[in-house]
Amino acid sequence: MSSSTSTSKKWLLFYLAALILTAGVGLIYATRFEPETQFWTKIFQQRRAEMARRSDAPHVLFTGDSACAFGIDAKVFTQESGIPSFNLGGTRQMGIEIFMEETLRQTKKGDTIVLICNPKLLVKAESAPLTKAGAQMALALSGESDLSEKITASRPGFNHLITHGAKLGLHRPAFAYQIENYHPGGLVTTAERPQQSGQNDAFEISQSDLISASHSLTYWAERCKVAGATLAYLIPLELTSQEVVEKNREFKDAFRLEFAAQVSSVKFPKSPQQGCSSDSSLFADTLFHLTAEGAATFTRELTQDVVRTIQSQ
Amino acid sequence: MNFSLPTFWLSLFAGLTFIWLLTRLIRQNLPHRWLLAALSLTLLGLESALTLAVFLSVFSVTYLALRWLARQKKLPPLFIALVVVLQFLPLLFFKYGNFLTSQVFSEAPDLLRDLIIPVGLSFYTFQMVGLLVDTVKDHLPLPSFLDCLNFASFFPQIVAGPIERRSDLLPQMERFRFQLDWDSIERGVRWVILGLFMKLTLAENIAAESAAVTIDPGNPFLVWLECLFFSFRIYNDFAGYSFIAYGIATALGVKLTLNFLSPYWTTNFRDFWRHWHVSLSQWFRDYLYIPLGGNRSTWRPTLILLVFAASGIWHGAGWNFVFWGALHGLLVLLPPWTKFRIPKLLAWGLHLSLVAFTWLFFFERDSALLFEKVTTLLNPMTYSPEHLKAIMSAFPNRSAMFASGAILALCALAVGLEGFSLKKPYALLTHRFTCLVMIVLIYLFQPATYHEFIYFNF
Repeated sequence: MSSSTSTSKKWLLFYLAALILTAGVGLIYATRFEPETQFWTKIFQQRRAEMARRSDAPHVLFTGDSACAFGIDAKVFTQESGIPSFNLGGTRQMGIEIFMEETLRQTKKGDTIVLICNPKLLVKAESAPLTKAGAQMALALSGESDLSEKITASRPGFNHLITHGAKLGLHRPAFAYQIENYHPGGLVTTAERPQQSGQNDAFEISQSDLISASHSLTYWAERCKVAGATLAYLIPLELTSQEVVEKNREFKDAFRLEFAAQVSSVKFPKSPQQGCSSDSSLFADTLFHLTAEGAATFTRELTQDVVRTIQSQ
Repeated sequence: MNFSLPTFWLSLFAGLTFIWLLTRLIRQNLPHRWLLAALSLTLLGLESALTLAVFLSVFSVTYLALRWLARQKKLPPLFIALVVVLQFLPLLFFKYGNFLTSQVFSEAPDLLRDLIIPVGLSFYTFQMVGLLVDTVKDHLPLPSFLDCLNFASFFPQIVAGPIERRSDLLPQMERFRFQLDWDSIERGVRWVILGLFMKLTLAENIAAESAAVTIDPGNPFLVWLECLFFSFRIYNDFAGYSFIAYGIATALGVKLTLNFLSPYWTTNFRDFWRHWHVSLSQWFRDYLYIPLGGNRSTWRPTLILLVFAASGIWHGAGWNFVFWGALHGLLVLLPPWTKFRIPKLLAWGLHLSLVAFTWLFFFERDSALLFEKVTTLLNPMTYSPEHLKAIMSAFPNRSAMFASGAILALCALAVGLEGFSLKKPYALLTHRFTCLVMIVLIYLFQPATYHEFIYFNF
């Protein structure tokens, strides 16, 4: 073997070693330092500790994207209805699999799971892989994931790393929320200033997306049934501009009825204000995140219809 | 055959492993060239059945025409022209059918409106036209069916070039053998790493960051920013692809044309086209410009405009591409900036600004918006302090602005590093130690979503 060939072979091994080493570093970053994953892992662990003390009485478990995490005050629900409840909401970025699996983990026979998320989050191929945030959460929560999920989790991406680095350099918090934003019962709040203007777009969802969302919801209803629970779906509240609020309310209610017709195994309680509000004082830092007061108001308004849904079983 | 997808690399790895096993089992008389053809056609077929079928139809026309023409003692130019038209027919149908019919009948028929252009059609059609013309014009011997097939279908370059010449690629296909040459493999891997870095780290992040910016067509600073984003994106996207193709071919022991030679280090448009998509420039020079008269023609300026307009329409069926090509033709005709005795650095800056400006005609397909943006850039009154301040509000948040600045800086650094090795293009970027750094950056920096290579649409 010539010396040039042996050098080439050596360098090829170096390239491979660099790749494996980088993947390892990425994996450590994803599970130990990634600020968003760190935050939500702590929240989920805190909730697990609280749920470990739950009674066997049937609970209402709210779950979904951040509209649920920042929008449902389970204490208010329990006070209003007398039914024990808990908020297990996560984020859109982590994907439905993560917060639904986490909820099913806490589910006992007779529970009702109320899924609150943007309907577009339900629209995805059933075999679609986990998102980056989802893979990172799965890894951080259970440590169990397959190779492709590990690879997905270990690639943080330019935008993420560069902004994280800049925040560290400027001694600013790496993530918008801290564990202090968590409240017993599962609610997450923020003191961020409210949004000034609401969503101006008309609410719309195509027929093909509706069918895809129906398939997804049917799948989760089946999983809930196996766990001895019932699934309900509620449209989250969105800050909407005054010009389109009425029109969007009509659209959302029509969508709710059409969705209910497609998926008979799921209950569809009516969302307060049909999922649209132009009152910016209810909202915090995004068009879906409610303030603590907003969450209490929203929860109070939805209690009656959710209870009626549970009793109609 | 998307080099940025893991499925391509898995398919290639599976194919090469199978061939390697065969070489261990059958040490003598292994049909290396047949195996190469099978590998190329399989990878093309995995793209889609239509892609493979269209390729085989263009190849069949070319090969049958070559056989027929080889038997003729005298070749009437009309027949050769007819064969070339036949070769171009699928390209005309798939790529220009919608555009041409909509120009004539105001609306294209349904059949043409939603056509998907088979991947690589423009590239292999041009390569096969070149093969036919070279063979006939220079009275070269008819290549064997297998060598001709390998010449046309060589998988690293079939999808988006480089458009190779008979004299360069055919002899390499005739003596092709699968060999485990570690030196070639390591050299090729370095080009693949550079290509993946340019595509996945630079082009993809530029695409992601620029998509988050809201461009006000009345704000010249934002339109310039959009042009800057696209200048870096298209270069890293296409050069990235070309270097991966070059690297795979090198690893297999085949030398392809280096399609990019640090084009953003040129100071005039004539040089620019000697460094940007080199094989396409050479194709238009040899098969259109020179046959029409070339430098000796009394109509030289018109000819240059015509050739560049044709190059524009090759890139896409639309008037914006024709304008883009013609504009480049016009700028090629201008004397270089250095003739005006201005410092080289200033000449470089002016030239790059013009290149960035012309990209506007390339990426902006909405003619009304294009007109508005061009007017904004050319009107000195729009360059106001208010518009300068408005740049910040175009970004969704400060983080996005910071990330955009950082990716532009990384792109500028990469282009800058090319400049340290102009005598041997990309020498510093393909250095072994640089490759180690790039592996880290590719893995950690690539975004979660991919865009197709821009030139796949051409």
